[in-house]
Amino acid sequence: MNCRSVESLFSSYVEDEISQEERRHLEAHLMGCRRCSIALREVRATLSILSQGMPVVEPSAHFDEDVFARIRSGEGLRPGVRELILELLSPLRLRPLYVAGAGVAAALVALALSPVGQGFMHPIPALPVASPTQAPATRIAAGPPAGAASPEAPAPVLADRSAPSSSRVSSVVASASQPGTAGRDSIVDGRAPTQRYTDEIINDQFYLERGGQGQDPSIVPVNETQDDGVYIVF
Amino acid sequence: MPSELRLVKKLELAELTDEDVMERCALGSETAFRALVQRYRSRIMNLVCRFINDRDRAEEISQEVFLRVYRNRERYRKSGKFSTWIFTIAVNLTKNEIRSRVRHKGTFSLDAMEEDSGGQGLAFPDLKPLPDEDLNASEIRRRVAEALEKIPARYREAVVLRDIEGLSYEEVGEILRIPGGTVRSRINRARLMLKERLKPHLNLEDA
Repeated sequence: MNCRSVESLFSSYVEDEISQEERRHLEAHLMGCRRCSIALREVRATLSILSQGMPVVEPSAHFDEDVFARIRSGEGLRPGVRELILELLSPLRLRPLYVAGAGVAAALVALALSPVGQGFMHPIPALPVASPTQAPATRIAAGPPAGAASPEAPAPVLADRSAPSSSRVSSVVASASQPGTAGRDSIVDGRAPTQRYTDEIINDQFYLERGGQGQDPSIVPVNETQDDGVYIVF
Repeated sequence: MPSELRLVKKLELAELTDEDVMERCALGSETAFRALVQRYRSRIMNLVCRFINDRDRAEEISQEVFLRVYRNRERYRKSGKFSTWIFTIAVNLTKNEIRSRVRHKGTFSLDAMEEDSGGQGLAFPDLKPLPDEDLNASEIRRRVAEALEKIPARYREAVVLRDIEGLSYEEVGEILRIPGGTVRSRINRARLMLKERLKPHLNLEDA
């Protein structure tokens, strides 16, 4: 244990809040270090002076009345603009704001990296507008949410007698109510996907070019190479 | 209110803990608030004065502390100690004052010291041993106050709350919003700094 680490334990030692092991090391050090031994006595003497107290300052005789007068006048009961700004800018007040800001930033990064965020980064064009001849259920899906309907806007055709069964309606509404996923995963309503990610298109084209119908004539399988009759003999 | 009834209420309040009195204050009792002001005005005033060493400003800040107590009386939670709560308010207001002084004056204590010297320039205390060192108690207290003023604010706050106000380490940590290990480290460091500044006046015979 060196002098520096011994010094850091002075207060704990004086107040008897030190572990047995630390006490043993510290006392062993003090036995051989006069400088630390004196420093410890000086700390004790400093504490003794501090315990004698400080010059006592008495509040003025009109202290109480001043406080009550300020309360009665309304001064100080509502924070002033300057006080609000100072409090807002003080580091203690800003600390929660920093934390909140960091949280929001982290959430945004997480969102951007998530599949939903990827959907935003590669925007999916809106679904084709449902034709008037489509089933009423589709019109329900394309209509505004019930809560957002304005008095002027036509109400969704919920009461159409020709509507299909309720389970079908709910499934279609469910798929259409998630605009971020409807185009990609619209298996629910039986339609083919209208939009894919760019990498999906590339992959599809790659495999299509090697497929039966769209085969590239320049690509010839190795085992089908024609024999040109030239051989290397070892 | 008849004077007898007022006396009874005053006696009742005198027997209540700070937390109970504050609870009554939160319910709208002006008498309870007056009792709290009487109980704490001197402690708060001295605490603030030890931080900024400026009596007039300390009185203004102390009054502001009680205004804050009154304004936030409904937010007080009885589960916590009232003294810790009001000390936290006082320390925060004092910190604002110190920040404001540092921002405007470069260092917070120079103007107070200049005033102490009667406007004849800055009077840095000479802590060298005097030829005939025979300082009385009040003189030693004054030297302690000056030594405290010279150490950095974060160490001063911790050592004043612990060694002069006599609060526990936990209370100091709660008021300053720092963990227990930091409290202990700051207090130890502050004592070492004070030891260096007060060395000429220390009596090592009894230590």
